[in-house]
Formats: sequence, structure tokens, C-alpha cells
Amino acid sequence: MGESRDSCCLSVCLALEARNYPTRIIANPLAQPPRFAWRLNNEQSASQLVWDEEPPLLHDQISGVFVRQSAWLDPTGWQPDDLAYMHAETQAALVAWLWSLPCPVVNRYSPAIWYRPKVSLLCWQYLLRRCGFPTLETLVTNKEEEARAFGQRLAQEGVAGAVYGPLTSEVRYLIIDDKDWSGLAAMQRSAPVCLTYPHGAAQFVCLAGEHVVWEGEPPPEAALLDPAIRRFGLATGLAFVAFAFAQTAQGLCVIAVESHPYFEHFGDAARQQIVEGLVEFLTADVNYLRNGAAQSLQGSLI
Amino acid sequence: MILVCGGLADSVTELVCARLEHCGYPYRLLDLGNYPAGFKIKWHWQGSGPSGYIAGPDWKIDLDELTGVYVRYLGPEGREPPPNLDPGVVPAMYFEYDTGLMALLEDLSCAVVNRLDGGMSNSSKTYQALIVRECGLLTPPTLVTNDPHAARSFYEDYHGEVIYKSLSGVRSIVRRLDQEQLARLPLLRHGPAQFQAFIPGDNVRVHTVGEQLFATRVHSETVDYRYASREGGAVEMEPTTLPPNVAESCLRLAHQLDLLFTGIDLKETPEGDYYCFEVNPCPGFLYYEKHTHQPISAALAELLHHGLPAPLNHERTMPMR
Repeated sequence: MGESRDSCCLSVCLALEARNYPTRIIANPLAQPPRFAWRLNNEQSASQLVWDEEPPLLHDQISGVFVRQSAWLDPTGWQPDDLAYMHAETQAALVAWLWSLPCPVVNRYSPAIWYRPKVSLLCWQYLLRRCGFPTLETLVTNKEEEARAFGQRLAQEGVAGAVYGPLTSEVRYLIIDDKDWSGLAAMQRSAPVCLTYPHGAAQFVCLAGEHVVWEGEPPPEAALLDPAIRRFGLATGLAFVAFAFAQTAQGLCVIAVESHPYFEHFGDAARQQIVEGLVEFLTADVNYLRNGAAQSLQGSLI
Repeated sequence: MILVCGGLADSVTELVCARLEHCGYPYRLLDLGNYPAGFKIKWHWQGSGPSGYIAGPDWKIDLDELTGVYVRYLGPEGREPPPNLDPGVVPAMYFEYDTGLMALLEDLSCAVVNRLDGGMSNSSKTYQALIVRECGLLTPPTLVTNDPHAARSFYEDYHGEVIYKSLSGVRSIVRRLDQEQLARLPLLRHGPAQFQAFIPGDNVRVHTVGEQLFATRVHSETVDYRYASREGGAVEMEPTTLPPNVAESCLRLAHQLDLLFTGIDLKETPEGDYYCFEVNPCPGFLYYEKHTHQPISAALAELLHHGLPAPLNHERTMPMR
């Protein structure tokens, strides 16, 4: 599910076809041209997709699904309210349908992630800690004195400034001088602000099926981080998820989680490994995936 | 200490506060109608769960004092826009406020009614149906389709006894598929809809509160009793008892979704089968308590005051399969 313009989607398709798996890229299986029908009751879950002049594609004939985007609807001709309703209906049908399929699905998103794909790093804190990730100290406050005290403590540790960023955007600002702190205080009168440590350049790492793929040379901490990354994948059910790590005054910490990884964050060598990992996962025996995951997760969370 | 996050004008939040007051359980209200105006917060993550405080006009509570949190988020209509802000940025500010609060509540170790993640399943009724099946309850025969022929065929298979309703979290009135709607089936090509075999019988609303369960039988002649008065119908309610296996399935369902408080919609057929339609993670239980005097809010107050019983407290589940 995605676009042929998406290099990740295309690379996975090409790699599957090279292994003699027929593929089809569709943006939205629930919008025409295909006719979609899914019957569900306690005895069965049977779905099919039908393109004109083709035999129906039954749910058990789909051997794997790679999800790069949630279903897109062409807004042309829709009233805004009707479009929003139809979008909600399509999303609801799709997340459920992906869960109903017996084949490997990358990613079979939980509704929590499906509906909040770009959630703030702060919302991942609980799970990141349980999986063993080093997380950055973070403060959320609308009290000026608390924000200033946080900044002063960082200064005493020799850290130049604090990083401010809204929880609902990826924009980040370095708060250094008194003018910055006064500006921040003004913002605090409208909303709590989120402050954390500054960090160095991000290094990306990706879980692709059973492969942990680092962009560039893995850091010395990789031996500890790789198991945490695998635990995270098992705990969330994500077979394709990326993280950004960066050096901070508190050591190497996770600074971003991407439940919908950007392929562009990785170079050619890493991309090749990612595609291999995804193809292996998509073509793996389903029972192996289920049993392996259940056994690996048992008792592995911290 | 209990934290109630909600709007003063919301009758369900008001009932929760009144019940806590009546029980003598200390609580503080984080009025989301005004938040963050009038409140000071400090939430600090430092290698473990959050520490810090929330302070109101004349009170301050440490996060580690909390035994329970009840939250009922507000839409824009229940909120006082922040002063001195461009109206154009107000929705973004609400989103920012809620995101911070959600991040906090997801990470508190006390009882939270309810955490957002578990509740997100309510955005896809069909997803919930898959879990309902796993928990041992019946799910009505359902068709999700964008194909008019498939819809027509489903209608015929069930001898015209078919209803349609939204499958997302958008609230809709359950209606029978009639001749007028059948004529509109070609419009399905623009996007999917959900059809279900009509299940006759009594509606039974089940509220699970931790490990407790309250079942309410609803007598109504209308297809969707929530809108009975609009259609000139009457609604009568009475407490009822569920068969043990159905009760157990309801509790399993709530647990699987990581929801400490749910409103589960069942229907008992004349043959005694129980079908499950959906799980509401933020139930407006006032309606049922008022009609039946079932002690739902009292059970909720106990849960918030005493925290989680050991089996529920030792490990939070991920609301996913």
C-alpha cells in the first residue's frame, strides 16, 4: 500500500519480484477502481478485492502486505465534512482489515499508532524505558522558575542552552541567552513548554523484520541498543520502525521514533539491508513469525 | 489523592466529582475547560516515570500522591479559548495541551481511567469486532464494502434484515437498510460502508469498572435506543445479570484493550445469545445510573481511590495483539 513514486515501496516491490513474488502497488484498496468486500462473523473473515476483468483476489491469496501510507482519498468533488467522514470510515476499515489478514503485514499498526503516526517522543517514554532505551531528561512546565532552574542546571553541567520544542511539531529551538528565556516565559503564559538537552547529529537505525540496520558505522553502544530495538519491535508489533540516536551530555540517547520510517534517512548500503529485511519478513512463514515473536517477547521487557 | 481531568460543564465529570465528594475521597479537578490557565504544572522525566506536580488556584499535588486519574477530554465547544491568542492558532494550542496531558497520563503508574492508547480501538468498530471474537463474544455478521453488488447480496442473504452504521469513531444513528437506501448503493463506489445483519432482542449495556461489572437491560422498540425520543419511542432500563461466561468475556475484553472502565454494548437475542457491538472507552454512564441506580460511579470512585488491585497493577498490557 503506497505509491510507486515512493522509493522504499518500489525497492521492496522490485526485490519481491526478483524472488518471483508477484506484487501490486495500490494507494487505497478501499477506493475504486478495486471492489472491496469483507464479510466478518464469528466463524469466518473473508475478504476480496476485484479489479475489472480480473479474477477476485481473495484474502488468503495475499501472501504479504507492505504498508507505506494509510489510505489516501482524492478530495476532488467532496464537501469537506463528507470527505472527513469518508476518510475516517476508510481508515477504520483499513486498520481492521489489515489485522484480519492471515499473512505477514508490515506494519500491522495498532489503532493507537495508526491514528497517531507522528506522536511526540514523550508519548513513547513508557515503552522506550521498558525496552531499555536510554532516554533524555525532559521537563514540561508552564512555570517560568522551573524552566529557568532547568536551564541553570544544564549550564552548571557545562551544557550550552536547553532545547525547546512543541510536543505537536518537530521544530526545535535552542534556548541560550536571556532574551530566549524571556521569550520562552512569554510562551509559557499560553502553554506548558517542553525542554530537554541539546544533542549532536542524529544517527538513524532501523528495524526491518529481524534486521537492525544502522546508517553508517554502528556506535559502540549498539550491542546494548540492538536488543532494545528488537524488544520495541516486538512490544509494538512494528516490523519496520526507525529511531534516531544522538550524543548528549547524558550520553547517547534516543531522540526520535519513526513508526513510518523515512527511507531517505538511510544511504544505499543501509537501504539495501532494509529492503532485504522487509522482504524476508514479508515472505516468511506466518507461524514462524507468530511463535518466534511470542517467545522472544516473553519476559524480555524491563 | 485523585485527579479528575474534565470540564465542569460536562455532566459525567460532574457526577464523578459529586460521587468522590460523597464518598469523602479527596480529589482535585483539572478543569480542561480552562487548562492551562489557572494551573501550574511541572512534569519531569529523568530516567523513570514522571515526577513533579500539578497546582491549582489553592492546591498542589505531587504526581506520586496520585492513586487514580479520571479523564474525559473536551472538544473545542467545551473550552474557554486562551486569552490574547489569534483564534486561528487556538485549535493547535488545544492539541498541544492535550498531547502533553496524554503523554503524562500514559506514563503514570497509578490507575488511569482511561489511557488513550486502549481507547483508540474505538475509532474502528471493525477492529474491535476482531478482538470481541477473540474474547469469546458473538459479533454480528458484518459486511464492509465499497461494492454495491456485495451489499445487495448481503441484504438478500439476511432477507432484508440489515442495518448500516459508521464503522469509525464518528457517531452515527443505526438505521435499517430500506428501499430508499438500496437505491443509493451505487454511491458505495466512492468509499466503504458497514452493514450488519439486524440482531433482534434487548440491548444490554455493560459497564466494567476494574474487575466489577454492571449490566443494564434496555427495553426499546427503536433500532437505536439512544435516539428513541427523537423517533417517538420510549426507553426502559433495569439492572440485569449476565451469564458467567458472557460476564467473563466482557472483563477479558476490557483487559485486552487496557481499559479500566468501559461501556460495552451487547444485545441478547430471544434465543439467549449475546452479541457485542462495540466497546466505549469513555462511557457516558450517567444515563444508565440515573435510570437504574446501579452504583457505577461508586465503583469508579473506589477504583480511583484505592488504585488497582494487584493482578491489574503488576503489569500494564499493550493495547494491541
